[in-house]
Amino acid sequence: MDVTRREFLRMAGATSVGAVLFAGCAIPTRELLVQSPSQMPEDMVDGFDNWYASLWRDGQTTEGILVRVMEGRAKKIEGNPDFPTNQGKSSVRAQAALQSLYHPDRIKGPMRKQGDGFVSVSWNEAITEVSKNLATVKDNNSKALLITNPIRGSLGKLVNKFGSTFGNNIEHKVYETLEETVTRAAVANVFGQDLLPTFDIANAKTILNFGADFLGTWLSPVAFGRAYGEFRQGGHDRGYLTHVEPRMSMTAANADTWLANRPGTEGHLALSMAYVILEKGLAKDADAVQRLTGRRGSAALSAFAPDKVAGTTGIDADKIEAAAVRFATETPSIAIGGGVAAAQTNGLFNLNAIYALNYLAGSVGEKGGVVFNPSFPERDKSGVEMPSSSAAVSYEEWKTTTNGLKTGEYGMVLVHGADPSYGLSGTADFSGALGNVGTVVSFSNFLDETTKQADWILPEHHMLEDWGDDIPEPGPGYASLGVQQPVVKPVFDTRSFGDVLISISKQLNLNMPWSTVEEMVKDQVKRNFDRGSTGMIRASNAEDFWRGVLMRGGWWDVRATSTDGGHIKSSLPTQGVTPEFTQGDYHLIPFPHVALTDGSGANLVWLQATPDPLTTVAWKTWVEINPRTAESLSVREGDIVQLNAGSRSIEVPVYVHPAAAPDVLSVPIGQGHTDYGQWAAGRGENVLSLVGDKSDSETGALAWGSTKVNITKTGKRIVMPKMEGSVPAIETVDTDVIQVTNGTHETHSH
Amino acid sequence: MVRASERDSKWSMVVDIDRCSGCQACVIACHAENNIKLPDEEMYETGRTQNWIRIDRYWEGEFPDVKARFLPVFCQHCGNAPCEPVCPVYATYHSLDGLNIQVYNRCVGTRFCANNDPYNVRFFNWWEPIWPDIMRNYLNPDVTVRSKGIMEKCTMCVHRIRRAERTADRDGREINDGELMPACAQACPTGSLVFGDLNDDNSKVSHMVEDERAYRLLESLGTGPNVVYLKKVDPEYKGEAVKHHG
Repeated sequence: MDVTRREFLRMAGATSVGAVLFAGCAIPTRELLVQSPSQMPEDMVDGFDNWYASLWRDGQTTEGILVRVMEGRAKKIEGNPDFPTNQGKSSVRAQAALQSLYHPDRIKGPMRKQGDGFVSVSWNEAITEVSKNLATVKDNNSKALLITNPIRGSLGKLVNKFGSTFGNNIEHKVYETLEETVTRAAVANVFGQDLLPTFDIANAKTILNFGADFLGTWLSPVAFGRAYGEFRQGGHDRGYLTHVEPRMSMTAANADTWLANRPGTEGHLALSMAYVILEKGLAKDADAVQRLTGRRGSAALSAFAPDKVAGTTGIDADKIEAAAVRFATETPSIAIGGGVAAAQTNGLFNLNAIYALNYLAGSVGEKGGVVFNPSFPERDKSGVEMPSSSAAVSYEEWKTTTNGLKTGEYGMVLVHGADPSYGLSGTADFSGALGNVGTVVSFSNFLDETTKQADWILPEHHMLEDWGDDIPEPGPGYASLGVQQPVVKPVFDTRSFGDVLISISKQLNLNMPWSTVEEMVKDQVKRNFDRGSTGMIRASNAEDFWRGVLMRGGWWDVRATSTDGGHIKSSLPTQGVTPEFTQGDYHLIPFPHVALTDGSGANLVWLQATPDPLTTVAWKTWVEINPRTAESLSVREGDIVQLNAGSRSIEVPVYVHPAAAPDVLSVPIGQGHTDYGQWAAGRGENVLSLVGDKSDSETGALAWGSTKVNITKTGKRIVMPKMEGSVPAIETVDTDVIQVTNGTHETHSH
Repeated sequence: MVRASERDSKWSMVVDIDRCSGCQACVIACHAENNIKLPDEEMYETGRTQNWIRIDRYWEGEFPDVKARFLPVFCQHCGNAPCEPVCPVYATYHSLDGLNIQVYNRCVGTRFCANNDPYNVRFFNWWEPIWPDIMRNYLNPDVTVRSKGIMEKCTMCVHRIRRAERTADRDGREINDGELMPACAQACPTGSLVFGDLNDDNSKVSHMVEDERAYRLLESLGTGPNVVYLKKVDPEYKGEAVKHHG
């Protein structure tokens, strides 16, 4: 039913310049039967719409998009059917990029701090002053800190080059609110890979997933969601999804079996399943078994026999066994781990054990299994390499850095695409430390918490106004490069972050080989042509090739796959690592909101108004409480309770949640901004401020799942803003609203 | 060849609820395409949300044996629509290509149609819609902004259908199956929503409605919905009663 990729190419190829895909200008040809707006009046001429291929990206994910532009205004964003990862599909976040483009609270031009507010300055003044400040940092032999979101591609290359040319007086650190440090470490340990692999969910028959909400917010949810649709009803045997997580996430809600485990016990469960597979002789790869168990076979894991771990994990032995047998026999199968399974003090132990299961099912590097991504082969004419991956710095390192800010180690901080004052609001008080820094420069085009503390604001273009490129991570399993082109003229007096960095370099007399980001992007693409690496685009010269790439939204080559078979670096642990928690009565599980994710979406109306899939609550922070727990606490929906973690507390309304575990309280991340525009500021609570000072023992990643809290009633209550109940319920008694079949020919209805 | 705009089409949607993950992409895509009033917090507090397509969530069972099930619901474009005959001014009627159409400039706001609608997919504008000036830049010029006192609902993106017909007529060809999608179906990551012409025997929807999982929502009411659902598959299903979310 979708426009197939081939058809899309045909349509795209029929046009001449740029990425004009569908243009229409004609009057209706039929005599109108009934006069109404749905049958356009005959004198109505529908306007031309131009469709441009570009990229939507934030820190975590990249989607290829087509933007509908009429009379110079962006009107709608659709997925690019040709783009390798999302293949024509789009998320609520990509859709909502229109609202961040045309937003009343965007910063309209460069500004300087004056008193408690900001005054407008010229770009010349801003760039000159920031450059002077950087020069002073160097002269004083102090340090500047450049904080960015994960950046790859040309911008990554530019930032790296800027850092290396400026010298030792600048440090570049990548900040991610919900870091994937543990996932990256596990992928390196278990598979020997530097790049995140992709999971061939579409062709899998069994998925065994621990904590990774890949349908909601984890890594690349649109690409995974597309594959999930095929996994369910893609013309082969229907796939079976087993999901292990202490909270019912979107992925858990879609699972065939959901196992609500005790928090932090995912590694024990995975090893127990490994034991079952080895004990029953179901492992596919004998060589891997030898290496994983130190040639001892199931005996190495005898401590994890299902009946031995049932108590600590909270999962019955027969369920562990059933999941393990299905995983090993109904292949191809994939084991995935992430999210709250990684966000524990034993996070890396958990993920190492989980990902190792893939060897036992013979899924490594196979169709329907774990597919490795090739590293991007490009170096440009100046010999600078293009980064295909961008790993964030761990929480523990941020704590050290924050201390450095406090003690005056850094004379200057520059921030792009990140809001650490919001994200590091718990024990690591980034915002407080930033106050001690001489000069703070922000490139944000919204006044978020970090930008509010800036001395200089050099607002960057919106992504629909800017040039760029990106290597999606995880990639599609073959080499790919998405290209971002401006589709509308800048709405305000903003500039490309990369171009500003180049301008600053010029003022500092640094030798940068490029003059604009546009030039970098174009050079990179043309080098592909020169090397003969043209992928799916045929062109007779470099200029035509460049146009073809722009029209299709990027370059990719399905033949350029990874040849790496994976290397096991260490054997499976024979002893369990027990998770540690802070003191409290209930486990606190913060989770990324489906639309606001880590909080970066909180400034947009559509994202605030996106109903949470499970609770249907919008515009609020809430706490999910099990019905029996709520009864024992005598609280009901809308009652405001206080959650206490030591001296820190937040007040949130209760949502009585049928799928909440009795001793687990879950709170969405994303609200509680003190600034960030009219729709974000002063709304809800920032649950990250409750998270205790614990980290993964090996990688230092923030263990945001390791906090325990106490709960007290406040006596206050509100009306819960939610979708359910908005319309009178369709009664299910004696009717047939939602129908379920167990897959046999016998069907059931209500 | 019959021109696209004169073809005897029957536009329909098939919803495979076994694919639906509940991600809400369709909901926001619809807001973006159809100039729906900005959904503020008060609308959620007072039960006056305007989501032409929504995802109902049904709970089943108790922790730990609990299931959540998702059901996308929007105007069913019924062949025997209960909302149509009650309109005193013919603001809602059935088009020849299978759509239930709302004529905004006829509507006088009696709300009889919403009262008669068993699916609760019609929404009344109690207030004038307001956007900050700058946001009006992204409004879709193909879709009327509905003023106070008007009933609105899912149009199956009729403006896209008409545009596709005109384009096909101009090019002297027929509309290809899959060329045309409402905003919700185009966004839907899992491919749960499939749109097409039921009168085209070769269309994907024509094949899908033959599936043994096919059923129609509240079929027993005799509304003759034009939207077809494919049942959720749950290998662990034991037949408990499904409770509504409300």
